[in-house]
Amino acid sequence: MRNFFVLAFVALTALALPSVAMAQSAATSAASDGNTSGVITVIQVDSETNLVGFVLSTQNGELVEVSVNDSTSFGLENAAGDRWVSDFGEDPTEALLRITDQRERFAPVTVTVADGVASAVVDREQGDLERNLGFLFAIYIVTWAGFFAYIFIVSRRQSDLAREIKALTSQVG
Amino acid sequence: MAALPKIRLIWLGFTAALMALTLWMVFLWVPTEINQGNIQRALYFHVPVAWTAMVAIVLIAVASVAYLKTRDEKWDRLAVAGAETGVIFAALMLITGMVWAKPVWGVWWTGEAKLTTTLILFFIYVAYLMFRAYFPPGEQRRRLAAIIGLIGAIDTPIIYYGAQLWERAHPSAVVGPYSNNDSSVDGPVGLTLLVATIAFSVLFVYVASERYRLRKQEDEVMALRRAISLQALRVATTSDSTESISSAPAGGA
Amino acid sequence: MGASLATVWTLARKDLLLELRSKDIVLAIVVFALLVIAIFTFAIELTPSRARDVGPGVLWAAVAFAGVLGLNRSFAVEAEGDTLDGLMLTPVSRELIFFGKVLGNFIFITIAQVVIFPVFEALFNISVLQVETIVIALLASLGFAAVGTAFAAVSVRVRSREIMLPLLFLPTSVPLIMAAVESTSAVVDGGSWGDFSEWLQLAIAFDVIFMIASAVLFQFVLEE
Repeated sequence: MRNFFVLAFVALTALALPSVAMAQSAATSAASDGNTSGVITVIQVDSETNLVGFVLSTQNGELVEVSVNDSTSFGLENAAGDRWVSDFGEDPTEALLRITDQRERFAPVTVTVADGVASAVVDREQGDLERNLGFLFAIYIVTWAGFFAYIFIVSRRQSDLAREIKALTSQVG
Repeated sequence: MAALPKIRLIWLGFTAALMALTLWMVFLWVPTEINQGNIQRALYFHVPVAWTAMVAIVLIAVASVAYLKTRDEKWDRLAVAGAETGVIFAALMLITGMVWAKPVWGVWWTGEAKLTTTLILFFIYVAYLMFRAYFPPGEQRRRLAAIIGLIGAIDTPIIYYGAQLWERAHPSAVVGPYSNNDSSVDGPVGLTLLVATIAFSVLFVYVASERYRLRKQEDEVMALRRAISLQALRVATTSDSTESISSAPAGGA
Repeated sequence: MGASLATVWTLARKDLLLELRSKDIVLAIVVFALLVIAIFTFAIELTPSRARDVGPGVLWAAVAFAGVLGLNRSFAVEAEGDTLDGLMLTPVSRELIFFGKVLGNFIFITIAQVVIFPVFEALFNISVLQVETIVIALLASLGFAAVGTAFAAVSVRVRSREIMLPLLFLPTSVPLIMAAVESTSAVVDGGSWGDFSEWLQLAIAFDVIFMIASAVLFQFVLEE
């Protein structure tokens, strides 16, 4: 019984790998609506050096111009891993600093655009389909490893106890 | 005893078949979700696991009430099986939730109401199991454990309501195209989710029933040990008395 | 009804008289809570705005942790003196014993808060001594006492009850702690009743549900 569980676990894990690969090939055509990803090339500021917009260079080499307003939300991590989440209206200076930092590092961002105005600016990493497959695999493996470890422990305890019951019953006789 | 393993094997086969079907549907059949991409396939593990964790709480509550009413040990065994399996499922729900949240929301943990509720319930039922581990076995342990199990179940809706209020008062630190997670659950997505939920429920029944069997064996061992020590005691006392009778004249002489 | 209330009061008075002599429960709650609060004043650099942000959380975490100590003590006293069996032999219904215990614990926690709140206000420089916060404190104490009394009675016979009680009590009272922290925050930020009415409802619902549920379940605790 115990060997069966180990075998089943290995088999399921092996099964997961091609499945994930196949799922990946099916996904490349899925584009996201209203979301544009790319590297920031130009930052536009007004006369009082307030951020008004920026230009994105997308993967296909297109240049997309977006502007920001007070309700644009930002979710950006700097090189130190410090994540800043806020609306543009809350702290325009910090937004400009973050966008500049993003441009200097050539760190790609994903922007949700509606009518040329960005409603959200976040790290591109979040939307990276290929990277996420690692996370998906982790979810899958954790779920199964959890079950099999538990069932393995339970079934081992069961067979131990079954042996003990046998021994004890013969003693009581 | 001979018929039992057969049922277990059939159930195990049924679980495996359903799981295989679920895997096929999740990875090969259901189309990729447009906003989140492949990572959205985590839904088909995360939600069914969460669902079964909730079923476990209902099971503990029902078994605890039934135990307090009937004082039948089988209800207590059912409650233990439900609690331990429920804790495992809740832990998996938390881990899969966190691993899903990181790529989609950019953070491992948010104050999302269902996550918060599961975390607190996880702690309550871990405490329940710890209580059982600390307390000497017997009628009193079963009774007190049933009370703890019930209080935890009664607390569940209150925690959930509180967590929802909390979530509303503290908007999560999540923005961007993936922050609104209200992807529609119909068509192929709904069907896959349904099949996955059924498969995980069947798995839950399997795991819980194995745990139930183990609990029964533990009780059996305890009863046998008691019987043996009683027997030994009886032998010792009877041989003691015959010895004293036979030795008394010898000492006198 | 009147007779039951009198019985509840008699039972609570017994605990209060004992406490008046030893003073260990209230003293333990007060000293421990103040210690937690004091440690936080060192652990967090308290600018005025930060004090307002974290203050309510620190206050209620301190009260909850210290409350556990007091609740533990209140049943440990009974267990050490073997008086629990005596209590069960009295011709009084189990619910009334429960309510008597709850009333005693409620008074202990409330008295402790009378000391904790002003000291907290002084250390954190935020004003919590207002009508709103006092109502919240009373509601929270009542909930803590209801859940805590039931769990203290359950865990009193466990080997390591000092560990068991907080593990049971703290996660269960999370909704109440949330409600207390959020309402106190609202009051500190200058809000009034309307700003935290939902949290207040949650606290009241918690108190009512656990008063009834714990009273019903308590008779199974004290069963031989």
